[in-house]
Amino acid sequence: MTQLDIQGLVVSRGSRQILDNITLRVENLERVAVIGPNGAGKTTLMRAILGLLPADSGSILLDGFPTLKLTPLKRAAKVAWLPQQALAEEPISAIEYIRAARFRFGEGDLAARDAALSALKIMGADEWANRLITQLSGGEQQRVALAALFAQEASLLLADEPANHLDPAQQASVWRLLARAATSSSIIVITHDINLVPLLGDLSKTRIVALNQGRIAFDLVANDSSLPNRLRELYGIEMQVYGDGGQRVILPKVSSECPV
Amino acid sequence: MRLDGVKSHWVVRVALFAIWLGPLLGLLCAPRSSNIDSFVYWQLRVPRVTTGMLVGASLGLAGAVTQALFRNPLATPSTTGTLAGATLGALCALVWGAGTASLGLPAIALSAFVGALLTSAIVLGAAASGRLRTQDVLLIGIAVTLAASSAATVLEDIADTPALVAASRWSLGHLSQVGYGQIRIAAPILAVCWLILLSQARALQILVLGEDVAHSRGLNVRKARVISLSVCSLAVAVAVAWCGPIAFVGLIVPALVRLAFGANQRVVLPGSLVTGAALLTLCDALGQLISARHEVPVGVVTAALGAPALVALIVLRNSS
Repeated sequence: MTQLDIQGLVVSRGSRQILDNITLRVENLERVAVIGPNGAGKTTLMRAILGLLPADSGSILLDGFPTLKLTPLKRAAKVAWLPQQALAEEPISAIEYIRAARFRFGEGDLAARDAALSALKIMGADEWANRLITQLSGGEQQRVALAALFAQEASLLLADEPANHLDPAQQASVWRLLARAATSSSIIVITHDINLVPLLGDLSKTRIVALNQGRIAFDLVANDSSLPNRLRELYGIEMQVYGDGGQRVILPKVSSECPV
Repeated sequence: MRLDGVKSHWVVRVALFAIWLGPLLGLLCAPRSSNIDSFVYWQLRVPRVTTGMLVGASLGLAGAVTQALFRNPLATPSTTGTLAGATLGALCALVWGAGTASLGLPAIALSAFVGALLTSAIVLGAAASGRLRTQDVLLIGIAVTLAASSAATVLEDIADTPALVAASRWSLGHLSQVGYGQIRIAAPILAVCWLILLSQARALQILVLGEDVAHSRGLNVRKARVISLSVCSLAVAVAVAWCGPIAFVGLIVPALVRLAFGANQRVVLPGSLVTGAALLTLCDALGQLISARHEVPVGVVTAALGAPALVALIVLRNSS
C-alpha cells in the first residue's frame, strides 16, 4: 500500500493560500528531498502530514488512513518528525529526551532506557547520554534529535532542514546519519542544499520534489540530467554544474551581475 | 552565584532533607505525658502538622504541574490566576454563605474549584492558542489575578461584619484547627488529585518539549492539558478553601527540586509533593516561633520568604 498519499491538498492561513492543489505519493522505503524557495510551503506540507494543520480540501492518507482521523498514538507509529530547532530549552538529559520519543510504546523503565541508549549508540551519541541537552553543541544536539527521530520507529520519517546552521563536516555527518535512521523507513527531507542529497544513498532511487508558491514545480529522480535547468527556473538564478553523474555538484553561478 | 554546578546540587539536596527535620523533630520532641499535653498533642499539634503537609504537598505538586503545562518556571498557581480564582470562589461562598459554620468545607471547596477552573482556563486558553509568547501569557495571568483580587475586595466591602471577620481571617492563610473533621473530608480528595497528577508525569515530560513535538510523538495534547489543569485546579481549590490562599509554595518548591535533582518531570513531580509538605509545615512552625501570643499566619510567612526567593530565582535564571 502507498505509505503517503496526498491528493489535491489545499491549505490556507487567513486569506493566503499556502498549499495549492498538492498531489504527492510516497511508497514504502522511498527517499524524497523537498526543495524550494523560502515561503514555498515546505514546512506547511510537513505539518499537514503530521495532522497539525487542517486542510481546506483534499486528502492526506497514511497507509490508507486519513491523518487527521488517526489517534495521536497510531499516527506516531506511522510518522515521526525532526522539526527545525528540534531540541527544547529544557535542561533534561539526552537519554530522557530520547525516552520521550518512545512515548507511544508505553514500555517499562528498563526497556525504555535500553531502547533510548541503543538509539543514541546508533547515532554515535551514547557518550552524551547523561549530559543535559541544553549544554550540547549544535552538532551534538542534532545527533540527539536524530536519535529521537530514529527511536520512535515510525514507518515514515520527516526531517525539516536537519543540517541547518551546522558546519560542513557536521552537515555531511547529519545526512549520513539520516540515511542510517531511514534504513527501514521512508524519509522526506526538506533542504536548501541539493548537493547533500547523494548522502541519502543511491541517487537513482531518490526523488527531488520542488515546491514553489504552494504548488509542485517538479518531481524528478535525483540524477535527472534536466535538474540544473529546472533549478534555474525554480530559484530564478543561473546554475553551474561541476563534475559528472556520480559526483555532480550544482551551485549558483556567482558573478558581478548577480541579482541582489 | 551559579547554582548549576555539582557542588551546589548537593547543597540544595542537603537543604531539602534538612527542611524535613523541622516538622519531624516538632512532632517527636513534643511533651505528651500529662493529660493536657496529650490533648494538645493529638487534637491540636498532629492535626495541624497533617494539614500543613497535605496542603503543602498539594500546592508544591500543583506548582510543578503548572510550570510544566506553561513551560515556564515562573508559572505557578499564583501567577496563572488559579489561586486568585480559587480565592474569589471561596470568598463568594464565605460571604454569601454567611460564614463557614453554615456551609462547611465541601461547599466552599466546590465554589473555589469553579473559580479556579474559570480563571486558569482563560489563561491556559490564551497559552494554547499558540499565538502568544510565554511572557504575554503570564501577563494575562497577572491581569486575571488582579481582576479576581479586586472583585474579592468588592465582596469584602459589601459583606456584613461576622462574614467579614471570618473571610479576612481565612484570607491570611492559616493551618490551625481542632480535631480531624476537615482532614477526613479533604485528605481523600487531595490524595486522588495527587495520584492523577503524578500519573501525568510522562505526558508532561513530552509537553515541555513543545506542543507540536508532543503531538507528533503520540500524545493527545488537549486531553493531557485538560486533565492536568482541571485536577490541578481542584487540588488548589481544596487547599485554598481549607486553609486560605497560601502563595509562593507552588513557585519555590518546584524551583528547589529542579535545582537539586534536575528537570526530569518524573522526579520533579514527586519531589515537589514531598518538599511542599515539609516546607509549608516548616513555615507554619516559624510563624508560631516568631510570636507565641500573636502567631503569624502561615500565608504571611510564605509570602515574606517567597517574595525575595522569587526575585532571587529570576536573577539566578538570567545569570546562568
